[in-house]
Amino acid sequence: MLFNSYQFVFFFLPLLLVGYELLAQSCVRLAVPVFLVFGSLFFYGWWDWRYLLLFGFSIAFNYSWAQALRPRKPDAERRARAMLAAGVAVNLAVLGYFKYRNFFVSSAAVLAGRHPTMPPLVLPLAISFFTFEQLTYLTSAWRGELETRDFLSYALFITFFPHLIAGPIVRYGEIFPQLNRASRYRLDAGNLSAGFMIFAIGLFKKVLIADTFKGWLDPVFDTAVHPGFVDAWAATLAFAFEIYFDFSGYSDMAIGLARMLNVSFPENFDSPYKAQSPIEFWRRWHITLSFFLRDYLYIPLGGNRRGRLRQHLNLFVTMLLGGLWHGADWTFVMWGAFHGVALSANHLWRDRRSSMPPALAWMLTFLFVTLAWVLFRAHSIDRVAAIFAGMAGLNGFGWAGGSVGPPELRECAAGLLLVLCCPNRQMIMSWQWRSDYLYAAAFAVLAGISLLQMSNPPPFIYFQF
Amino acid sequence: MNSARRLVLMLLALAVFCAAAIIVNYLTNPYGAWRTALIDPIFRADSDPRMITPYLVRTMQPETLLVGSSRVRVGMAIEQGYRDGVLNGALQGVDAEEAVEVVRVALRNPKLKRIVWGVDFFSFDESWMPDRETMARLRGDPWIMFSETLLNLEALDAGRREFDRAWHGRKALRAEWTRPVPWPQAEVCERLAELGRAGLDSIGGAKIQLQLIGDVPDYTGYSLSQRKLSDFAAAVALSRRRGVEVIVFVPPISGYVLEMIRQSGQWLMFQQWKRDLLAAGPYWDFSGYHAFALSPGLFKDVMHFKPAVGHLLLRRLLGLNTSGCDLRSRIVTEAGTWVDRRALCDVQKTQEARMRSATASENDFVRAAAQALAARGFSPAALMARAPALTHRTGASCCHCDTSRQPSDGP
Repeated sequence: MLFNSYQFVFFFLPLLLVGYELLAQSCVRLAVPVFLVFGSLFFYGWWDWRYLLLFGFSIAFNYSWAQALRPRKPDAERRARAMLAAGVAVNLAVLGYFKYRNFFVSSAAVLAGRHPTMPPLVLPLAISFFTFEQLTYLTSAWRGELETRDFLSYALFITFFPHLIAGPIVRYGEIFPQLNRASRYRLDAGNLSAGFMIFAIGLFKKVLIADTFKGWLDPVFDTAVHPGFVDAWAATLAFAFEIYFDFSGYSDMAIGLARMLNVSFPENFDSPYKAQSPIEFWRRWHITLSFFLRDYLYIPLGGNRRGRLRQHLNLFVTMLLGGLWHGADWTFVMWGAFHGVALSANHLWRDRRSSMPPALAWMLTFLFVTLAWVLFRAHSIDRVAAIFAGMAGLNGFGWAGGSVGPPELRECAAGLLLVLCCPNRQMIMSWQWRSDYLYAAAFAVLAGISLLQMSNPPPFIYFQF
Repeated sequence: MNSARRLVLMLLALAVFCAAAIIVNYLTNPYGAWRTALIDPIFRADSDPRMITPYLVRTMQPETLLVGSSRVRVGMAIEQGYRDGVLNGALQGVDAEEAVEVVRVALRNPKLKRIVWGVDFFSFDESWMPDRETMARLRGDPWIMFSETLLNLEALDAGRREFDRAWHGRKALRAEWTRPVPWPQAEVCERLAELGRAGLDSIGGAKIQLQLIGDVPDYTGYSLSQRKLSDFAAAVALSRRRGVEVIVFVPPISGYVLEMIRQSGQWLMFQQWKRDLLAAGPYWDFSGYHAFALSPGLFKDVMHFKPAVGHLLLRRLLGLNTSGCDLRSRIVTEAGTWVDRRALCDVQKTQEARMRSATASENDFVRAAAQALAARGFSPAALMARAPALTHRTGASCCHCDTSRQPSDGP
């Protein structure tokens, strides 16, 4: 079920909130978490109920495996470490089978000079996200950080619908104490009003801003044989704005929904296009993924503790795998590598204590990030080459006259103004609203216009991951 | 700050905002989905036919209904979708099942007197599917109607534009918005004389190529659907039983598309389809390698003939006066042949002969179709070689003309 669908907004969410409050008043302590787990499974199964089986297997396996990773005596250290490695391997194997099997098999076959036709596998929704979250649980169990080991708490942590599909990637230690506090199982007017407002901001970003770009950039990226200079640049810029407003809008909606249920999620975006270096960009873009990769990949690889060369290598490998995590295609690997190289270069520059005017630093960073989006968006290396050729003027500097015209260029300019000059959601929520009427009117306009624009909602970009 | 008060205010404000939008959309009714007529429908724009047409078919009460694909939609365009008792119920890329549903819904209208039904070969393809949303609109799905025509920002904007036009009055409307339908002959002649070169004759080989490439999948895997043919015949029969006159016609097809059909190995199937159409009764056939098909100036693009041509065509189909224009009008009117069981053999023999003559040597049409097929990885020679051997299902084939039957009534 999509957050930006009428089914969700008019049926699922109101019913869930009413059911939540009614059960909270029933004094049966387990009623609310059980209700939330089943509600979340319904939310997930709406897409395709058959994948509930895989999801259920993943939950059951990880829970039972974590039981075997109880706090241990020192002499059992090696065994526990091996158990953790095996648990991680099983999770990655499931992820690998569904997400990477065709990619690896076809890549190997091409190297061997064959052209196999693999039957396409449907990627279970959210598998990349729930796999990562289960890994944080296994690690917490191995470190002995789990406060409680009951199945219901664990199931609620994993299935909790606001973060289930596309993050933010939450960790057991952050969320569990909030979910497991019985006093929180009552709707709170303050959290509800804040949650609704955050959700409305996210919905507005998705349906009114991100989806505007979609209609005309897709033909340039997907079908234009020789995209012109203006078309290629405009479509690339548009994708930079589309993916930002799409994903940050989704994250806002998730954060708002959790807030309605008295749960605070970590922030996922912080005006990333204002960044003045690639390092800063990754502290502002998909923050929960950045931290996950840092804590679960970069640091275990050695981080910066084994010398400069190794640090750069670790950084590169981390970003390469981060790229691959997004999608099973060489374009994603290249995107990750592109960022890995940029981060290394940024570290080298910083080590030299060199400085750069902020405007130039911003421009270079924005240019780099935008160019990298071509690798992320294009469906094949051929398409990457076609778009880059257009951007370089190899197809001429004229106007191809396809889907890009003056209105589209105006949209790009508006997108740039929005990301640079407008306050982000965190800033808006920190404003002191003097009048409840004004707050209510702002909410009604944001949510109302979004509801009016939702009749045919495209899915979120990150759903495919 | 009182959180509960703020929350109540928020929800109330949202409810008021949405209710206001719904009421405005209902009253302005820009898509014609409801029977409210606060604004004269003359100011309504048929801006999104796939969405608006099904609603108009449900709510309007025309005397004449036009059915067909974008050939009818574009060639006989009515700016509001409905004017002067004529409703253009044609849909872009129509599937035969959709057209049948349009007719079934329109038959609920007691004022309906005639249906002018343009049938297209591609819409009888087994793999050509009806659009789910169009069918839902035709059947009056309440949820899709609510989300598309009431709780909808684009409807609000369309309503604003409709209101704006109404505010400025009829005199401010462009001339073509108020011309009577069917279009008067004098005006048709005038527009035919002004056809100019803004059409298929001037768009250039590259664009023609691009348009043809888009048409390749329509024919290379074509499989004639008997189910669609019998649904079509049943809908025609039902209409006639209800006292509605049905005028069936095969619209003019440009030489480029005819070549695409032929080089895809579907020429025999095309001719068979036209024989099968007789199961629904006699019809007008404007397709074939005649002067019309080979005059690019009469077409907007490879698929569609120009509106001035379509207006003349409609007059011809309705039996109205079509004389008094220049030579081009004769090319149009003379392209149509009345096909009944008696005339079928002669018509198809003539078409066969014209096809052979038009394709005897390489020309622009032959070349363009071959290049479009090659661009999609097809070899015309191979496709034509594997053309299916056809059995004649209706008994009205060229090989076995059934002359013992009573000749059908003329047009």
